[in-house]
Amino acid sequence: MSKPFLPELLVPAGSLEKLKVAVQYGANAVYLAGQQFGLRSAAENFTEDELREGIPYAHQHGVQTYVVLNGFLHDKDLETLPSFLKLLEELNVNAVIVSDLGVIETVKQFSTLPIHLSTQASCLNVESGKLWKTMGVKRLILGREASIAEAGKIKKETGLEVELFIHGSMCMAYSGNCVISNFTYGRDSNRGGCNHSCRFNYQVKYKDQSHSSFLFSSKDLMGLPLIEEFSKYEIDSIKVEGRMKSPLYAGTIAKVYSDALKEFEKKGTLSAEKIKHWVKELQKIPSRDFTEASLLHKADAQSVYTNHPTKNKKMKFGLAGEIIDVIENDSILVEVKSPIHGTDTLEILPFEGEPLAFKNFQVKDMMGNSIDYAKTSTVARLPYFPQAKVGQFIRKGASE
Amino acid sequence: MKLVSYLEKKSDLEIFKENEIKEVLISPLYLTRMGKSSLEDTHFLAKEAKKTGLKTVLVWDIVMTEEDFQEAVFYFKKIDLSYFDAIRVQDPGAIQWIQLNTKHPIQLILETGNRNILGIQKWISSVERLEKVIFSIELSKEMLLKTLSEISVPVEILVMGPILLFYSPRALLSFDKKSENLDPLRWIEAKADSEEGFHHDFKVIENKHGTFMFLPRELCLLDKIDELKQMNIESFRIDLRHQSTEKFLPQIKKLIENFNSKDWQDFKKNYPEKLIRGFYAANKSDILFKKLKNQNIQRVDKNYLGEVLEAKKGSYLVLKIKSKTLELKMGSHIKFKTTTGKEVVSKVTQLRNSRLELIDSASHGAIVIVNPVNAVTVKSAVYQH
Ligand code: SF4
Repeated sequence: MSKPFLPELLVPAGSLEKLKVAVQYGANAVYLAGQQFGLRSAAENFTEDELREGIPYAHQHGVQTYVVLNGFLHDKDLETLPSFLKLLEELNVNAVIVSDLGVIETVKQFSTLPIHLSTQASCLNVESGKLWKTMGVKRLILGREASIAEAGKIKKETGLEVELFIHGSMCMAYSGNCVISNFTYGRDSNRGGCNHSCRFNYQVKYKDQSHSSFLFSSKDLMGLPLIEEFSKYEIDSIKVEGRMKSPLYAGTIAKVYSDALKEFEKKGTLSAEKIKHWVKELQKIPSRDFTEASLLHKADAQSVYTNHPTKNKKMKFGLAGEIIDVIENDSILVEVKSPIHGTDTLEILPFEGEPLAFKNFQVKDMMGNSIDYAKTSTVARLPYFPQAKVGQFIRKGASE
Repeated sequence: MKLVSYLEKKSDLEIFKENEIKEVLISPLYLTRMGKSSLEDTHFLAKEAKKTGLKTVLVWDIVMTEEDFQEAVFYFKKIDLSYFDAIRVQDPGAIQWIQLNTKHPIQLILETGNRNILGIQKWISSVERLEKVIFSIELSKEMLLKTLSEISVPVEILVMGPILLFYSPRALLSFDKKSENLDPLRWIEAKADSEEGFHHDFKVIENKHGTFMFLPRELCLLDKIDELKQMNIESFRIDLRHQSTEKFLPQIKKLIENFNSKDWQDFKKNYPEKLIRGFYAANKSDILFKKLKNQNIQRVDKNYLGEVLEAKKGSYLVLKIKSKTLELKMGSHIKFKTTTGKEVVSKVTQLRNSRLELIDSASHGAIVIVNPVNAVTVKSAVYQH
């Protein structure tokens, strides 16, 4: 059996902490932003010092790094871009993600960094890809409206690498074609200021009817069952959305997709049973329900999220803490993110493989004194497990 | 300066002529976002407009997946281009195709993104037979002036018309229908309100190309028209597709020719929508972002040692050493910077490792316990002092 084509798993790194989580949990590549230039301006983003730590860390683990410069930048933004590019080159960043021709020109003029065209540019067809190729782009990050088959065709006919979103929140609008926030809140959605107006509940009146609905709100994309399709069409990179989401999100999604890709690499196929298991794992993270959106066919009514967001807030699993030290044959130290009681059912989320569940344990404080429960923002001592490793998450919830 | 508008029905031609419209935009159903014209109507309107002496422009402004693109090209090939003087495009795929497959001049829509001169210049130098560029309504006066001074191609801006907020390919008003049951000729209009965002009376239109949402206020730069006339802008676009051309075009033309406050007040009073100048005065839509970040927890690496993980009042602090080069030493002075920006200096009088053993120093990755320090909270940054 010849080895199947394996896409790169590209995971968001909204902060240095999330970058390390994504790397440890199996990402092949991460995308991140500096303090300026990228969308998601509210995300923690990386200071220069954090870039200097995070990028070599990823490279040491064999993980590619892509830095986003994908806001629709204004002239004054471009003035400070060259010095940032110099820093990125010095750090051997693998590519920059750009949506604007002015930024592409600046990148070409001041660096030799490979350019990936951001999804913000809404490149969705072969001819568009060919035009962007003449502008010096190496990879097309296609809009979420493109199907896997269309992406395969674009790759074949342009000779460029293609990247497609496989998981995460979706814009209901074509990327770059929504300015609701700009005109209602004075915040530029194309420079990270989107306030998610599309997710509000709307009272819609037409003809003589009126109804209340979330009709502008999209379910979250989830393409795990389609990994074989991504491979068949040789999609170079499958991307997870969510630089602003929690570290648990980054870790869980990276782990589940990475496990699935490894299994696919080994077996050349994914069984329905395994897919069901992984989807169940993905459902443990808060989502707005899942849709394949346009990955196979054009997204239709099924892709609209009709539940009220608060109805779905109740997570099956939340983050209880992160393992920060393992003291052999003694205890594990956990940075507590939500209260831990000895009666809770906890799960250690390993970097690979099945979670390790445990309950009915003694909770101790940092000094080793027994306590009723560990509060948020403290350090707790929990029982030792040989499988536990620094950086792993501990989830809390009821196993199904 | 010339006036440009959308031609949807023959009866508008007379009004256009009387009111100095020189160029008309014709919108075929299969190529244009708000297009309503069948192939037959497209030809008819273009022919009639030409007879009236107007310049005719074919609009192809939809965003297209590969499948949509093939359908659009199939349709495009049926159009008799001899009726048209130019083609207006936005999707780079359409730009590329028009360059290779027609000889027509191209009008390039730069409404999405394109907020910097370098990018605009690159588009201008890259597109063959470029006749005009259409600027975004988000450019401020300052940006307009600066950009106009650096480019040589004619420019068009919208001076009066609806503001498109949102363009989705999905059929959002036909939420109860499967895609195969959707009528390609449908045109559904609705109004949407949301209490959550104080969004009221958003106009929503669904057609073959998806769903479009408009601001309940329209863009109007008529009271700035004298200023705009000085700017060397080739075309002013007037979009009355949601209003009565007959009623408002003469008033608009009068204001453009000779702006005076009485006519202006009358116009504002009569016009059914509220009018705004958008970002013309200034575009500060990125200003808020800086405030969204907590400057206090941003790391400054000089002397940075690590972070406080727990602050147990009167008992101890738990620290994580993050520096790769510096060590935390027993007896040394350290500075804490709290999340509120407060700085506290203290001496390390007690230092233990995670096994609770007393130690002299700790390095990268270590979790340590030190003596408590008043006012220091979790997430405070720790520096060598
Ligand atoms: S409001 Fe919705 S559609 Fe618009 S940019 Fe934000 S997420 Fe996308």
